[in-house]
Amino acid sequence: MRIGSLPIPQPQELQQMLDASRVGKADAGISTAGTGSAKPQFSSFLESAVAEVSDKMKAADTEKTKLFTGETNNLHQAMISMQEASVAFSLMVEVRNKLVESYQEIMRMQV
Amino acid sequence: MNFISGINATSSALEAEKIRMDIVAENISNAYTTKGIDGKVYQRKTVAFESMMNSAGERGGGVRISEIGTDSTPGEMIYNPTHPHADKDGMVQMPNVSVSTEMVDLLAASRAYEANLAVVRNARQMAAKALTIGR
Repeated sequence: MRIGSLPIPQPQELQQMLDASRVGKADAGISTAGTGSAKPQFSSFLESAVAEVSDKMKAADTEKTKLFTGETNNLHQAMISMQEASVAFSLMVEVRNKLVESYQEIMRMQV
Repeated sequence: MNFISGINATSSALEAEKIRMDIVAENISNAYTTKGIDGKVYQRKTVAFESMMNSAGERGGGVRISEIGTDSTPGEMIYNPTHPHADKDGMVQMPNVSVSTEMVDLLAASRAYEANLAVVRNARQMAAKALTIGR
C-alpha cells in the first residue's frame, strides 16, 4: 500500500468524521460522554490511535522531506518510517472496518 | 508504539553498513593517490563497529561505527622517475590500498546491507500477516 496515492481518507478526515459522529449522537440525546467519566471511553482510545497514525505519517513525511532537501541521505530511514506509517494505517483501517461491520450487524438485527 | 519489531536496531545496522560502504568507496577511489591533503601518500581507512545502548540503557540496541582508523602499513615503492611525486631516486610511494581486498570488503558490506533489508522486509510482512487475523 502506498500512502498518499490512494483515495483513502486521511487521518485528519477520519478525525473529523469521528467528531461529526459524536456531535450527531449528542444532538440525538444518546449522550455517551456523561456516563461514568472515570472510565476511558472507546472513542478516546480510537482518537489516540488516530493521532498516533497521524504522528507516524508526519514522521515519515519529515524523513522524506529531509531526504529530498539533502539534509540527510538516509534512504533506508525514510523507507522504514514510510513502511511503519503504512502498517499503522493498515491497522487503523482494520479497526475501522471491524467497527463498521459491528455497526451493520446491529442494524441488521431483527426487532 | 512500534508496529514493526526490531526495526531500530536494523536501521542502525543499515546506517553503519552504509558508512562502511562509503569508506570502501573512498579507499578504492584513492587507490592510486600518491599525495593526500596532508602531502603524504594516501593510507587506507578501516572501520570498526560497536554495539549501541538501547533505550533501556543496556547494550544490544543496535550498532554504530566506533572509529574510522587508518591502516599504516607501508604501500609498495615503484620505480617511475617520470612521476611528478617521485623522490630523487625516482621511486614513488604508492598507497597501501589493494583493490581486490576493497572489492571483498565491498561485497561483504553489500551482503550485510541486504541481510538487514531482509530483516526489515520480513518484520513488515509479519506485521501485515498479523493484520489479516480474522479475515
